[in-house]
Amino acid sequence: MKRAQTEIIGLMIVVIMLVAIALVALRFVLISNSSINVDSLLSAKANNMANSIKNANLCDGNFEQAIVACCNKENFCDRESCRLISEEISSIINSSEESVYVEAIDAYGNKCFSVGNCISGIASSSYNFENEVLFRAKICRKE
Amino acid sequence: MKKGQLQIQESIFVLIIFIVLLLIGLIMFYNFTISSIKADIASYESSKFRSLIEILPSIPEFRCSNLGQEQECIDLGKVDAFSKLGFDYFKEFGYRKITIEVIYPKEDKSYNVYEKRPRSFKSIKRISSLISLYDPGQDKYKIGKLTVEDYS
Repeated sequence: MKRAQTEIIGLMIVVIMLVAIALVALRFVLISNSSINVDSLLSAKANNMANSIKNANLCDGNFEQAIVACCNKENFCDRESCRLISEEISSIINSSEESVYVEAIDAYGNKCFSVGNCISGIASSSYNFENEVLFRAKICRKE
Repeated sequence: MKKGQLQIQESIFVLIIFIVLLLIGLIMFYNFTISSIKADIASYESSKFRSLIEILPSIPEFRCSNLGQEQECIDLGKVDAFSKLGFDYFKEFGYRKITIEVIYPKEDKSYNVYEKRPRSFKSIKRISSLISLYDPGQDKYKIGKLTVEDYS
């Protein structure tokens, strides 16, 4: 075999190896896209959950008013508001398939109440109640 | 064998090896492309199925509105009417089952919004999400569980 032919075959092998590496790299890129989809689903679920809790009626008012009362250390529905909210939200999140964490933070950055336990997860948008309370839900990642 | 014949044989061998390598490459590329297209279709169907959790509460057929202003919730009056009238939404929802269950306050009430089963299916995928519900009969906001099942 001539030297030139040997060099051409060597070049072909290099090209084939480069193509194979590119295909493997492409595959990894495609796999990382699917994790983005899962995150967007969890984000939608977290937003749906926070919105549903915010809107729901509780006694003669709604959860939004009860959460504000909790941060102001007031009673709601003739009961200690934070305890009432924690009990009601615990019963709601039991119906969820995922582990959920719900919290409200007052204007000074203090946590008014929290339900659930989550190390890492996807949080919903924060709802601002009466410019003094931030409320959000978080869907926990499966470890 | 003469030197010229030997060189021609060498060239033919090189050509054969080159063509075999090219064919192997083409077959691999074809298989990869086909499997990648199949994976894309599956991923598209899967994301379409998952996006129903986001889309359903916001479609006008179910979405709450008050004096023309849209709200982020599902109107149980509309859901009830939709499930009773049984419109043909196969083009939009396909082979799926959509149910809404009232979970807060505790009520033993659920709505079978849509159901279309294929004659045969291999598996059922299920996703659910808590959603805000508005009950116009009681003028109250409740919490429901929207469940979408996909027959594939």
